[in-house]
Amino acid sequence: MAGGGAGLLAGGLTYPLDLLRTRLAGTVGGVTSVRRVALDIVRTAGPLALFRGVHATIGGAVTYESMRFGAYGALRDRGMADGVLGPAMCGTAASLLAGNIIYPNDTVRRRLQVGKHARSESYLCALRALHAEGGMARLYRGIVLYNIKVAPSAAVQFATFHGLKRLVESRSQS
Amino acid sequence: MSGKKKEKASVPTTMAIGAFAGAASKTAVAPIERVRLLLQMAPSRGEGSRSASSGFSAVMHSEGVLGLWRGNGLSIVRAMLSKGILFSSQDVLAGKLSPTRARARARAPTRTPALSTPNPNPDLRPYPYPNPSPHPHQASSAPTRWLAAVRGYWRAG
Repeated sequence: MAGGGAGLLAGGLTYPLDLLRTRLAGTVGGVTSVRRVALDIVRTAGPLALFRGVHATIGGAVTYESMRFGAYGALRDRGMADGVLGPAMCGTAASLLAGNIIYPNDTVRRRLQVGKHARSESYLCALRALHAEGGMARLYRGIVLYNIKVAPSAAVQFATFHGLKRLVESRSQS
Repeated sequence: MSGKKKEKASVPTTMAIGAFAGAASKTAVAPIERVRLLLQMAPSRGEGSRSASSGFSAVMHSEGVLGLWRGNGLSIVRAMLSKGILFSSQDVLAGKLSPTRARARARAPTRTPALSTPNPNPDLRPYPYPNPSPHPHQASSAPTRWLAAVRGYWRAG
């Protein structure tokens, strides 16, 4: 419960940064200043516009994390997360599984974040519009890159974490 | 509570390691994420990149190599802020919802078992002054054990 509440708080408070990133990196060329993008949004649509689509993002994150930890727990209970490589491999597998299921939500939330379409477009409307535009392929566009990303991302995370930990431990001993 | 102090000493180190690992992994995959974002946003007809190679070359052409990392600073800042809020608020919220801390207190030698059960006769209390523990009612119960299990699971993962 505490974890869920903390997750909501953390995700909600930092959400504007995610929206700004989508605005900044979602087009080629265009404005490169974070401040200008933020000021533009606040000036044209008010400060609340910085939170557009926050429900899709947080709902997706909660669903993703619970699926991921559920899958990780199932793998670990079968004894597949033992040893040095076990946790990393199980973590990657669980992340891939959950990520591929939840992926359409990511596409929908991007659409809500740019807000190019109807101002108060609902989640379901956005989902339907994207599906009408190009079917499941539209909702899953970018999935190959996503899967390519998850593996090195998890690998780098685990490698740096364990490497640095060893470094700190050896320093504190000498 | 000297045992608790020892545990706390490693927290800044762990946090620094986590921050570095997070930033490094985000930076490593930033170009993939940038192109993926472009693909997701492009409409099915009209302008925009609908394939990884066209997205990649569009960014390279108009923004240069560094353009592939545009927005990466924001996502790193966001990750760090949200992790910071996550862990600090988790501690506060968990403290209110009776976590392992209360159990540690229950095990501490300064506490007598008589204090954890309601005393029918207040005059016979072992201490004449207020209860030393601010949360005497949180010392046991199933929710506490459940929360401890979840926390252990979270840390193990």
